[in-house]
Amino acid sequence: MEENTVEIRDLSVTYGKKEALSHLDLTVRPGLFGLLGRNGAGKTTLMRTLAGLLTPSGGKAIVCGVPLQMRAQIRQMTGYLPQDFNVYPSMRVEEALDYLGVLSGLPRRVRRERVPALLRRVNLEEQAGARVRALSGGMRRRLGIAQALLHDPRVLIVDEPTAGLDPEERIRFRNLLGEVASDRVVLLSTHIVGDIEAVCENLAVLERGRLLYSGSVEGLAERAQGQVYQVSVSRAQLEALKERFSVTAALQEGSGFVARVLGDRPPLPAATPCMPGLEDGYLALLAEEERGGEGR
Amino acid sequence: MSGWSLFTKECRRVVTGLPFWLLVAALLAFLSTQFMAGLKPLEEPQPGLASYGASDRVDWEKAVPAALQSLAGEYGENRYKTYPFGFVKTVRLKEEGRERMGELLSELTGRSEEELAAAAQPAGFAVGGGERQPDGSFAVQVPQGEETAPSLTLAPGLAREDFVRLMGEADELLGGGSSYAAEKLAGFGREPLRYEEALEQYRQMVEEDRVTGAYARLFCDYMGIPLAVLPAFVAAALWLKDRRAGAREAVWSRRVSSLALTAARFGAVIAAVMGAVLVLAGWMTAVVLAKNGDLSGSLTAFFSYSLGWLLPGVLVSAGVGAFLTECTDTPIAIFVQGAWWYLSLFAGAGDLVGGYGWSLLIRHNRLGGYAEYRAGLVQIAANRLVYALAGLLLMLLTGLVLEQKRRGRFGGMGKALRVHRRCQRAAV
Repeated sequence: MEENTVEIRDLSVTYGKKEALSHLDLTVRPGLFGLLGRNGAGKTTLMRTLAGLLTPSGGKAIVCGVPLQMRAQIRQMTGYLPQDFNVYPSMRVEEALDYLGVLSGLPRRVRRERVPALLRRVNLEEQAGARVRALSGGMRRRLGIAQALLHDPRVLIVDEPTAGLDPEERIRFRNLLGEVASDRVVLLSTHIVGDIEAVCENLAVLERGRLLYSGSVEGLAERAQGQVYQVSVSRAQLEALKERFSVTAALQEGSGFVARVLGDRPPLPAATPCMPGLEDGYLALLAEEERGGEGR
Repeated sequence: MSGWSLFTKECRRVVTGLPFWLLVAALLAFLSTQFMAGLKPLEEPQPGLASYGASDRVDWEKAVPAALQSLAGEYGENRYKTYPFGFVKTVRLKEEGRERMGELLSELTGRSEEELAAAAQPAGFAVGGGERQPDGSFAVQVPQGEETAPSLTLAPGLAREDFVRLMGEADELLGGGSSYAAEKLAGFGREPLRYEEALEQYRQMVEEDRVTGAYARLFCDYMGIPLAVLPAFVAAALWLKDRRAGAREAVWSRRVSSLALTAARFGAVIAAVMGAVLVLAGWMTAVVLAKNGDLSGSLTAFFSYSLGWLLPGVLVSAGVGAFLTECTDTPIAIFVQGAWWYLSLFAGAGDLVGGYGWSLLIRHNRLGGYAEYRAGLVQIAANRLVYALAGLLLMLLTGLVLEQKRRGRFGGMGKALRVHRRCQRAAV
């Protein structure tokens, strides 16, 4: 097993009767790894399990050679940015980071070096003395990534980090994640396909707690090969298309629309085939799953 | 050294919080209105004074008829004053109860009901309005200007034990809390303190209590009241901060062990509260020594009494605050500790000196009382040790609960995640 790897074998997590994760098998190697899925697919459950905040009901996970049961070591090795990251609003930014550094067992000398350095890295140097409650959503998310990196973890777990951010903040965040992924595992969970397409080489897709796909981004896109078409339509035709096919985009052009359609056959005689993107592949995968589910 | 860093950071979080300063304000209020208001220097009793205060000796020759008179008076009017939880309650007995009370009185006095009605006089003693004596006791006043010599006596052949038993039945009939309960009957016949006794008490306060010891016990008696409940507020407020701030995931995913985190927070509450207490103790040491400038006093009595007497109450109160808050994620600890405190305070309302028992609040509401203190020292020590250990045990249990919650059990992140998913589905 490689040093910086997350191995997940037959992992299940149950809440009462509900199986939030079901027999998951996954290997995550160093670099940026995307975790894609709808709301409620089990992404956050997996994130929290790997961060040591949930106990699996079955299976196992080994993080950089350490089994999940050894929680103190797991918490030392993993840095977690939760989806709803927050700290004490009345604390100052620098004070909050220092406090979390103490909770990570960092000595004062190390905190004195790292806290200002991290604030510079996430572009929060000028907000060091501001109270947490005064930060914008994007600033707070950057503080979140700073606290996740504070103890130099080997695995960074980032849950929906760009949700709610403006485009500029989103790009800044993705670039930052790309920088930190050079020497560690970064697990990025999101339901925004564009985030994964921009920065990840590999990804996994979860749906209702099960793994639908694990592999490269290109590989998922290729699943929609021969299923993506583009066609110019009127408004009435667009509505009719939507009833029979999956229309992934509809760009207004003059009095009509240019529709991007996912289907196993051309939706209209005038439709032209297109190169599939990650979103197309993702949607095609979900559509296969739906059809397979209906047949089950 | 990160354990020390964590402890100091938690101390800062405690002392910058409003609940802590409310606790300090309450301590100052208690101190100024209860302890400092009646603070007088020790004075050597002089021979030939009219009164040296009341002793603990009971003149049963006086107490028995006085108690009977009081009961008969209240029986005549069918209005009885009781203090079940420290608040006055007027009890009126129904027909059946009245009959039974009449039977008890007849048994006690050997008189018929008609004779009892004729002998009954208006109820009891006027208590209060008396002067506080140098030893801290109050002189009890009796209505003047009328025939106060009681005309009721014990039935011939009735032993004192039977008197106490029958009066106890009367107390039960009234629902408890009356002056007729066994432990309160002595109040009807306290003998006055003699000069030699007053002098001996003074000597004990100066030589054995070393002046400040006597005042320190009274200080602890008063301070113990708010300190048996308010630390629960401070602890509950601190423990609720993680959830209120939404900081649980950021904190719980850290390497720090649950026990270390709990111990640091618990220790911070104790250190902050006891820090405030010890500052007040130091202040009162200076005040007492200044008032008794011609006497040599101990510099450490207030501190040692504060640690031995008050600290265990603070530990258990903070322990309840931490444990119940960790278990429930609500401020219910405040109400639970408040209820326990209330019951302890008023269940022992009649036992303001001595009778230390196993109550959360041990009382010594008297300046001096060295003999009673020494007599009860073993019980006091046992009581305080049990509560101190209980507080520490609650801290350990809090740490255990936290660890389970950090693993997604007992609610914890699992519950938070279920709520999160429900919100997401509702949004969709």
